[in-house]
Amino acid sequence: MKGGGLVWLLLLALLIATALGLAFGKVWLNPFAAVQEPWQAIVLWEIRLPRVLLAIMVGGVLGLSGAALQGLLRNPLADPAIVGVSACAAFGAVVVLYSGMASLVWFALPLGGMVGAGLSVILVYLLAGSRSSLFSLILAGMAVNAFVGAMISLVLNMAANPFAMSEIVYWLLGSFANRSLDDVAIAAPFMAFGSAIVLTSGRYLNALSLGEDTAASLGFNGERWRWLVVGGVACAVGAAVSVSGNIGFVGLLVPHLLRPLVGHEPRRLLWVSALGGAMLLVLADMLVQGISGRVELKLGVITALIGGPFFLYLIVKTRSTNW
Amino acid sequence: MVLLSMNVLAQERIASLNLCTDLLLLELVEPERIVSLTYWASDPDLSYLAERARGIPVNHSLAEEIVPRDPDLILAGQFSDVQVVSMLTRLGYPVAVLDVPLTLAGMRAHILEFGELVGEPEAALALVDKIDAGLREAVAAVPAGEPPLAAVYGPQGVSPGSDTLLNDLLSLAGYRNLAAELGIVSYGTLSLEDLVMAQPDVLVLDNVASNTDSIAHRALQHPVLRRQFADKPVLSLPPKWSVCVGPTVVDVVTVLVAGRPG
Repeated sequence: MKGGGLVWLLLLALLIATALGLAFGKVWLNPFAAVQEPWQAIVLWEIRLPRVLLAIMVGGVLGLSGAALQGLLRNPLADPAIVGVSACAAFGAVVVLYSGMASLVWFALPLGGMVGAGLSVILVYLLAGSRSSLFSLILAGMAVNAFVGAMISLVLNMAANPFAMSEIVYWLLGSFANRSLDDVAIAAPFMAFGSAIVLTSGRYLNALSLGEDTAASLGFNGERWRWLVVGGVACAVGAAVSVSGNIGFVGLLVPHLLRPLVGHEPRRLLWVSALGGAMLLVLADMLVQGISGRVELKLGVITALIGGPFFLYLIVKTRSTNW
Repeated sequence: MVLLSMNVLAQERIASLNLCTDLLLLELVEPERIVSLTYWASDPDLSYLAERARGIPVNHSLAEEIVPRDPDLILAGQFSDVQVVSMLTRLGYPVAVLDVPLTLAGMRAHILEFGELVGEPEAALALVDKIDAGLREAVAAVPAGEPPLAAVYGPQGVSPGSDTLLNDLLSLAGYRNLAAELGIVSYGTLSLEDLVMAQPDVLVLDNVASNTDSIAHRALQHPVLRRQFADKPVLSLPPKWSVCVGPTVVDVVTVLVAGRPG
């Protein structure tokens, strides 16, 4: 299939998923019909719209970041959650929120997420190196995830708010429940900015897939591009996690499913992974609302149920093909 | 109430592992006889008797904080740490595990039983009479007419349905309880969609701590709540009123009655 055609197809599917996401909840509402009662407008545009918008943005950011990191590290198992970027972003946001700093300025919460994400990307890069083997990257990510998970626990334990400790599940698994347009507004600019930077790196990632020397001989300044991609990912993922918690496996799953459809070309993979990630989270969020019991399930449960087995499959597969 | 050991004759020195038993102890027993309270008892956010609890040794549900005090009776709640309760029982201490009363009638029986247990039956009877008098006075001001629909909304969207003391207090104050009408038994969560669709007349924010730096409390500041209740009464119950049973039920009913629309 041609890359352009695939983008349009995914865009159409995302639009349908968005309309379904708006329509589906405790009751079915038609987002295209005129509202009969004022409460219907409130439910549609102030409760469901923020959820769907965040699912699109966060899913897009995670899909895109997974594709970009896989291209940059030339490692098929790279994903913001697996290498520890998401957990560090959550840690940054946790520090800002529970210390009361979130109310200082409007962008304090995403800023905390971005600083955490930024530190982790540098850390993983130092630990695993740019030409990391598959497993040294995973091991570095595991170490970072374990350490930062413990730090999140520690900060929540010391927080003044009585509900802090019970919110660890939110930060580790993520959710879009009870989010408002305010949450969309504080994080959206940074997600858009980071994603825009990452999206410009397509030609470099294409060249890089032929090797660093080839990329350099084609005129790409490798050092500069590496920092741009890493900075863009940190900015976008940091802001995304700060308003949604750590939703895993999206960045791993989506690029892998779509890669064969774009002829294994990193540049074309970026856009389609963003669209695919957005669609995955919109659908996963509907599923969460549909199957939950009295307390709503966290979104990361769904993505891990799909992504976990897939991750194992990838490990087995890469062991034999040695990508 | 479950008495794990019946050897409770001379209950001179009493320790408590639960905030609600802390508070009833402070109400009924002179402080010299209380050898340990939970650290919550002196937290003014959670305990209306924080002042009175000051100076009494605190515990964090650890057996090693209790054993050196050598109490004659240890009070625990239904939701207290099972490990510490079984360890103290194993060590030979009399431990009484008290359940949480779910109705006003249950609350009266609970306080009287508690009084028997700690050897202060007269004080318990006096407390029940005081609460009843307070409730009678508060309820005298309930206006006649159609009962308004109240939505109780706590952090994380938690709302008390039927079989909760707060449900009893709401009907005493002349309200219908949205969570109970939606079929929630005991505590459940009320989604924002439920809340908007039902169009309640009054919003009762429950368990609103003074520190609001959490996701749970951010949900209480959702713009939808502000919009929906812009011109309707919004009442607020601090956690120290609604966490445990006791004389604070009078405060709850007084606030509910005073905030009734119409």
